[in-house]
Amino acid sequence: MANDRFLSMFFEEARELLQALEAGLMDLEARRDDRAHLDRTFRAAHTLKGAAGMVGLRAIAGFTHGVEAVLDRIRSGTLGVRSEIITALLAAKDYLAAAVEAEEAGRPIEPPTGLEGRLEALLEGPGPATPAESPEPIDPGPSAATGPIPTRGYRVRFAPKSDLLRKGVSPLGILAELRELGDAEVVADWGRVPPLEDLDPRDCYLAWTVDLWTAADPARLDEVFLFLDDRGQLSITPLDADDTPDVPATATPAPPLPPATEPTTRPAPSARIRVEAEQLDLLVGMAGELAMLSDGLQGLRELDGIGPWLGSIEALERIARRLRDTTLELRMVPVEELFVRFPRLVRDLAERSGKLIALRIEGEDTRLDRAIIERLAEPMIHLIRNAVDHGLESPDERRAAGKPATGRITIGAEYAGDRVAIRVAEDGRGLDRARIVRKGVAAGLLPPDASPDDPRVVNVIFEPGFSTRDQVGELSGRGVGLDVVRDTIRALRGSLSVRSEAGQGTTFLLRLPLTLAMIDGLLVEADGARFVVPMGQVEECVAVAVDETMPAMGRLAAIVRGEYVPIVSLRGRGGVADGMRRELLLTRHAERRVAVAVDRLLGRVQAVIQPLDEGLGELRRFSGATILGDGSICLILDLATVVADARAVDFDSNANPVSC
Amino acid sequence: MPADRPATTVEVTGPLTLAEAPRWREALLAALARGHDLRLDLAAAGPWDLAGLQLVLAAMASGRRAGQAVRLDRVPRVLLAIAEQAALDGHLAGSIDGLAD
Repeated sequence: MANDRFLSMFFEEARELLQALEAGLMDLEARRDDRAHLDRTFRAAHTLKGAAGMVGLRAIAGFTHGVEAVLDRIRSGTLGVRSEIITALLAAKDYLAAAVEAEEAGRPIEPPTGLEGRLEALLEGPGPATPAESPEPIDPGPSAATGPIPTRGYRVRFAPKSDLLRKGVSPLGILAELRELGDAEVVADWGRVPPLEDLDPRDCYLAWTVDLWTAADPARLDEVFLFLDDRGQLSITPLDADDTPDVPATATPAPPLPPATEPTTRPAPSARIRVEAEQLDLLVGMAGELAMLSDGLQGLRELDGIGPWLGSIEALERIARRLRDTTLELRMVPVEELFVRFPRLVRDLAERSGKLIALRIEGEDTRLDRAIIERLAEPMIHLIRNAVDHGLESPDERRAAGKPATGRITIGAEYAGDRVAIRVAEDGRGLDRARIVRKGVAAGLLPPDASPDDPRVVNVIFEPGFSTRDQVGELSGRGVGLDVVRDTIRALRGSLSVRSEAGQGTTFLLRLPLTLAMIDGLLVEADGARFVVPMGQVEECVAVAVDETMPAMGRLAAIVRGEYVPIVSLRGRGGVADGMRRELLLTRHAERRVAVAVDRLLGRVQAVIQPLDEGLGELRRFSGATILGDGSICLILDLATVVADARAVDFDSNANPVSC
Repeated sequence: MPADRPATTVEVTGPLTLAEAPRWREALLAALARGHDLRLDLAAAGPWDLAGLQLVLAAMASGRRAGQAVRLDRVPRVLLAIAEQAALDGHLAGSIDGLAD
């Protein structure tokens, strides 16, 4: 088996290929006439097989061969695209994904019983070329066509770049694919293979000339080489018609191809390299520190005699900021990386629930911090399960309600100021407010006189352990509630809200920061210590006279524009800075305004967040630390947790100031 | 390989793929440096890939340049299959003394 480095590269590549395979399979039914899509899906399996074989993972390569063979039957038109075939191929993909993970963990696994048999049955069965339920014919491809097939001759000269093998690409796969297109005469040029003394054994010195007679169009021929980043020397030229064996006289003239002296080219894709996420985070952190230090040095500009260095100080500030912004941008990835798994999830959930569901995905290009994307998967899956299980009605129920039998789930992302809004919406029955109130009152989460019309009652669904289900559903309702979703979103410095209308559906809205690496913050002081508070958590800063604060219902409260606002005090002087006023940060908790009292507001900062060490991470009121312009370290306060903790102990801010 | 000429036999075992090719290049260079003909016993070699096959071709090129015969014995069928796919089976065939069981 290959060494660790190659294996590690394989595992990474395999995950991407399996994701591409799944995405391809999911769209196969809808895009049954899209030959290029089918070819891309096939190629994902084909490349995975080759890559697995290359690192000696024969079991994975062998199993993938079965998937590839089924897709090849579909390509050749001898097998139609049907739902049960897609289901079998998706199950095979699932096994491959598990097998890759198991191999990486050093514990190889066997395919589930019967799965190989299902694939073999698809290979051996008659398989109509078109599904019975669909009147639309699929492109049968050249091998299934009846009557004489016009073929054309091409000479393909392929001299790969020397680093082809190191990139994990096997020319053998390319040659095999060319052979699959028709009659191929392959001649290898081994004349450039040097003696051992001059050989770099990881370079490719071989080249090939392939005379190919095929019914495939030139674009298909070109596709064989599509996945090469750099094709090396490649030319595809028409062969002289006189050389054509068995070509019917009706053969259509080949479209013009570039002359032999002009190799087929395509725009080179932008070069990419992989970097370790930890190294990237380290780089972002250092760039942020540099920008902070640069900010600190800007004060030098005010000094007398600084003239000769003024230009350098300004350049330092400009470059340090650009470096910070560029490195931050490196962490951003499109939400497509998250959304790509949802079509499969919805398909599976629809099958299991018997509901008809159309999924719409919008805004996949919206970019978010990689760390947020990684942590959003679980909460998003939870919301989608909820949408299927609780939100959407059965086809019969929908028809009875005068709605289309097929329910719709929309998952979308868009920029909203300096944040990204992600929504999971369905057009189902809507939240049952009366039921929520009954359950909420019974659980002590709502006062007995709570009204279903109160817009705040829907927030009860985010309380721990809340469920309107009396029975555990197969898809959700197993006690892992929306509170977990909310907590996860909060931990990402985001917010989660819900909008629902009876009979029209429910929308969950997640609002997230673009990045976890940096925040706009307020620098505050409490009891001599400085903290950074994320601006996103502060609705407003107000200073109120001490005599405008008073105990109300056992808690200290302030009157802000006629509204009683409970006060949570950080340690210190309870926000009484000069004996006259209290400095208050207004935030929102459970749809209510809450004020957090601090001793002083010191100004705004842009803070690059450094994660806390494991020990400090236990202090959940802090979401990280940052380095200020003067080089000092400052903790970042999570206001949501501060307020939630205070609420949990039914705070009295004077008697029990919240301890940081 | 003439019977009256001394020959060095190298038993190639384990993978002969991109990852291992550099190591085997050194081993084959050392074997050829003895100045004798070279017999590669490939029965226990595998898995193979194109880099492995190319290494064998390079060894043959080295032998040609130095006037040393390089013969392949007990050749595994997988190597033949790769050579066939790469259209190099004809080039290899003249150097094969026998196939693996």
